[in-house]
Formats: sequence, C-alpha cells, structure tokens
Amino acid sequence: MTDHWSLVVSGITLAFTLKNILALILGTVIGIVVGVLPGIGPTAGMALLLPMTFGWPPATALILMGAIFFSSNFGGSITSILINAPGDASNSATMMDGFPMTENGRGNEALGISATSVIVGGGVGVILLVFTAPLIAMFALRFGPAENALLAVFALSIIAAMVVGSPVKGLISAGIGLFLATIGYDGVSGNIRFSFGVPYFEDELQLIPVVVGMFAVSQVITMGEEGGTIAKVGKLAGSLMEGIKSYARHPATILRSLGIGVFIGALPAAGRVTSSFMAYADAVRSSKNPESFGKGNPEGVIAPETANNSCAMGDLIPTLALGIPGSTAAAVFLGIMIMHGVVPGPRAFVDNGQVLYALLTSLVLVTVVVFVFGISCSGYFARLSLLSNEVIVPYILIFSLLGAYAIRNSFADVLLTCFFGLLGYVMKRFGYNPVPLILGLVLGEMAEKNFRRAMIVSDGSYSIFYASWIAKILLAMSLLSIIYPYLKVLYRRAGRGRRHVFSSP
Amino acid sequence: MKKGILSNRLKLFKKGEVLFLLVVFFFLLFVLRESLTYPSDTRSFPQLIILGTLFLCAVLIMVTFFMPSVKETVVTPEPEGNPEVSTGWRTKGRFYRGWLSIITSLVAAFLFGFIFFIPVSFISYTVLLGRRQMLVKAVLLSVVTAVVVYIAFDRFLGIPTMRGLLLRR
Repeated sequence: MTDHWSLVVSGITLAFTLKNILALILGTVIGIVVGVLPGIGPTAGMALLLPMTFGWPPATALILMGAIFFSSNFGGSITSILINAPGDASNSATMMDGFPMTENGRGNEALGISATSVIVGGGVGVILLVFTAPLIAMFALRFGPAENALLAVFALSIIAAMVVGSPVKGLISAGIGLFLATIGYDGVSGNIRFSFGVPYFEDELQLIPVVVGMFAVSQVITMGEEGGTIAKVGKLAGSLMEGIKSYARHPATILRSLGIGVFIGALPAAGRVTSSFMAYADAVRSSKNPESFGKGNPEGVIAPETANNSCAMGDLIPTLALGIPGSTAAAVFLGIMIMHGVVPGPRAFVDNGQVLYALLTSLVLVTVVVFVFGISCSGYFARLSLLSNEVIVPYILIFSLLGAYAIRNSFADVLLTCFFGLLGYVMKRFGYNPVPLILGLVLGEMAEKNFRRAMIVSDGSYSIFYASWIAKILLAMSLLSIIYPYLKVLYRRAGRGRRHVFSSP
Repeated sequence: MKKGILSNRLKLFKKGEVLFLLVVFFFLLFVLRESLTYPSDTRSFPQLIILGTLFLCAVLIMVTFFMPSVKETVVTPEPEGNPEVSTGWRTKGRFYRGWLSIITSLVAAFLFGFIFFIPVSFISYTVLLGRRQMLVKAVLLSVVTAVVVYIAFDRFLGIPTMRGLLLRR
C-alpha cells in the first residue's frame, strides 16, 4: 500500500517538472490545432509528432501524446459548433445543437459549454479511470462477440429511433452506413467485396472523407445557397459564463453522459463516436422538451461533449488495464507506449507506475489548460459566426478537402468527399439524417466481425444472441428503442381520442 | 375519381424524395445481385443488411403511394430531435453555382495543386455566389491563406498537400 502511494506521489511530482509541463502545453496546443483541422484528428497528430519523441524520456513523450489525444476533442468541437464541420467524427453529435446555437447567435455560450465539459468530463473521467479501471475492465471482459454485436445494434437502433424524427428513414440511413462498411477487404475471410473491379474500393471506405463530405461539403452548399452570415441574428448573444451556468443547470444529463462515456470508452472497439451519439439520444429521450433538440438546446451540446471527453479517458481503461485499445487513436497511443517501454496490462501500474501516474496527473492538467484556453479564446472564435459566408465557405471547403487528401495522399479521397457532400445534401433535403449513416459506417466492422465470430462460436445457432443476461438486456433495449417512437404516437393518438370523447357534446 | 387518385399518386414520382428512395432501392437490388457471387460466409452479413434496408425502402415506397396519411402520422411522426428536417430548394440557381464553384476548385487542385486550388476556391465562390466588390478582398485572402497553408502544412507539420498533375516533378 505504501509502495502504491509512493508511486502515486512520485508520479505527480514527475508531472510537475518543467520539461513535462512544457510538453503538456505543446501537446495541448497541437491537439487543439489538429482537432480544428477536419480530417487530421488525434491519430494523425500523434503519428506526425512520434518521430520527435524518440529520444525523450517515456513520461515526457507520453504526456505530449496524451495531451494531443485528449485536447483534440475541444478543437473539433470548435468547428462543429461554429461552422457545422466536425474536426473529427466524434464531434459529429455536437453539431446537432451546437451549430443551431451559433445560428441563434449563442455560439459563445455553446463554446463555454464545450470548454466546461472538457474539465468536468475529462476530470471525472480520469478519477474514474484511476479508481474503477480494474472493475470496468473485468466487466468489459464479459462482453463476448454476441454482446459486442448487439451493442452495435443497440447503438444504431437508439440513434435511428431517437435522434431522427422518422425511425424508418433513420434505419434506412443506418442500413446504408452498414452496407458502406462492408465495401472492400473482408477482415475475416480475406475476400474483396463490392469493389466492382475498382482498386480504390478494394480498401475499406475511409471514415474521414465520408464524415467531412456528409457534413462539411454539404454545409458549403447550404451556406452558399443561403448567403449572409452563419449567425442569423446578426449579433452575438450569450456569453461563456452563460455556457458554464447552463452546463451546471443540467446535473442529471451530465451524470448520465459521464456514465455513458466512461462505460462505452471501457468497451474495446466501441469508441467516442458511439458514446457521444448515445449520450445525445439519451438526453433527447429523457428531456421534457424533446422537440427543442436540433434547434439549439444546450443539453444537446452538454450530453455529447461530456460523454466524448469522459470516453477519451474511458478509452484508456482497456488500453492501460488490458492492453486492448478502445479506438484507433487509443491504438496509436498504445503503440507509442510500447515503443517507449511502457507495456500495458494488469501489471502496468506495478511495473511503470511512476510514468503512468505522471500521465494521469498530466491529463487532469490538460483539462485545466484546455478550459483556460477555451475561456480565453472562445469569444474570438465565436466572432467567426458573424463573418460573411463569402469568407467562411472557401475556408471550410479548402480545409475539408486538404484534410481528406492528407489521410492517404490520395485525390480519390477528395472526390469521395465531394460525392458524400452531394449525398449528405440530398439526404438532409429529404429528411434523412446523415448521422445514423456515419454511425453505421463506424460500427459496421465491429458488428460484422462480432456477428460472424458469434456464429462460429455457437456453431451457426442464433441462440447465442439471447444466451447471456447482457445479450438479453441489449436485445430488449434495441427492440424497445425501435418501437418506442411508434408507441409514443399511438399513446398520443389515444390521448387525443380520449380528450375528443370527453369534449364532445 | 379513381383516375384523379392515380394521377395524384403518379405526381409523387416527380417529388425528389420518392426518386431518391427508388434510386436507393434499385442500387441495393444491384448490390444484392452482386453479393450472390461471393462465398457464403463473406456475403451473409452484407445480404442481411441489404435485405433489411430493401424491406424498409419498400415499406416507405408502398406507404408513400398507398397510405399517404399513415406516412405523415406513423411512418414519419413529427420530428422530435431531428435537426436536419427537409430544407427544400432555396434557389436552384445558387445550388448549381455552388457545385460549379466546387468542381472548378477540384479541377484546379487536380491540375495545379493546392497553391492554385486555394485562390480558385475563393475567386470562384466570390464570382459565382458572392458579391463582385469582394473580389479584391477574396484574392488577397486567398494569397495569404495559400502562403500560411504552405508554411504550416508543408514546411512545419509535414502534412501531405495536393501537388497537381501538371506541377508534379
């Protein structure tokens, strides 16, 4: 016990050395910048700076990478809120109410909410990470292939049914996304599917061109049609302080989103996109005014941002405790840890306790640095929404397409981005929310791999999908989330019918 | 009377929403046919997804044609959390000009790389969708942006940028 606490104390002391503080600040700034640029994101940011850290002490290198890993989310939320273009796929859910807030002149308040959620989501996430990592990791191990496949189904059904007005259209959108995830190389059998002889499609569809196209390029067209400025009211209302106050007014939403974020983060392969959308759907479901979502409801920013930030920490639970990364960015982080001699697993905190506690302390400090940065600079960022679309639109287009190109150095990715821009525009126009499509694309691989593994384990029997109590709960919740909107309509009709009967002369 | 109902239903074809659904439906049929050529273990999951989505598309098409009142109330209940409700064509002209601006920028990027892509994006947008008096400002902004992107992406961060077919060495 004494040894454990001495490791904690020496880790905290190590985090506060000048070199590590400088690495933390540098990582935070770079993280925010790569988060702002659509398509770059934390994975590319960490990969770009990796060669620079080869000669560094492990703690300093991991602090730099941890700061990039965590702070990029805030950068992504800035563009999601102000210009409706997510820096990373995990920021997509924030756009749904963040951008309408900007249109209403409340971009400053939305950024205040986002900055506060960094310190709350991230801070609580780290504390939970320290105290609950072993427990959550052990529970996560109960998730077999069937449970993981059902988790993907549940995430898709809840998004399709809750976030989108029409569940049928939401499910069609999710179906298209799941189909897109099957294009290219089949990771289980090694066959190539739906490439139609085009080499480009033999590799799987990259997420970033699809996300950037569906949201940023379609937004370019919408803004081009509208002209004027992003903020429709012509002046900024609301302030950062209002954002902080607004955040504090929704403790129940915060607690639920924290729980969703940490739990989803702890599950291998589920990730930040899933957690932010699930938290958003949960906020819609539990709200007394669900119709206000999508029109600039602050809860629509609080829920995904809190979940996203706590999930980033939750992501580190399986990474540190089991050596299983929860996302692509966590996988890169895992690789960097191993490169620097910090081997994750059940003994990680025994063998490299000082370095890991220094990392965790620094992650708490990163939340503070991001919060201070957000509070000091958000006002300037929010003024972007008052600039003419003639200035903003070319910037969105340029950075979206440069980001899409940067992933693989391929012009075909740029063309794909534009194609999905057109598809996103058409879908929005006809009432199909593109969000389930994105989630389908994200979860498709996880759903398919686990579905096939489960079928192999059960020798072809579907009974595995309702064998365990976790599977039963997930299955029941998936079915309930799909029929819930219809039950609501029938309930309303019945209520109207009753009122009609009673009010009839 | 029946003729009137039929012609009303046929008018639905002119609506983009039905056309979009039909395009999705036939595309899914096409990929379903393609999937039949794959080994059974490889095709099972995509087929499950395609068939499920086809079924939903068919339901939506049928309901749109034969039970429009049901579609309005049950299949498409009033949006609750839907931020992306149908926006309609604001102005078709601006839509086409917007795409013309994007295509022009893409051609510039493909042929001449990002150094030309940035000015062309600004200028084409201003000429096609903006105010002409902003042109000088757009040119200046584009030059500054191109220089900043070159220094930040190319020199500092090492992020790959488009080189252009004609300028590639």
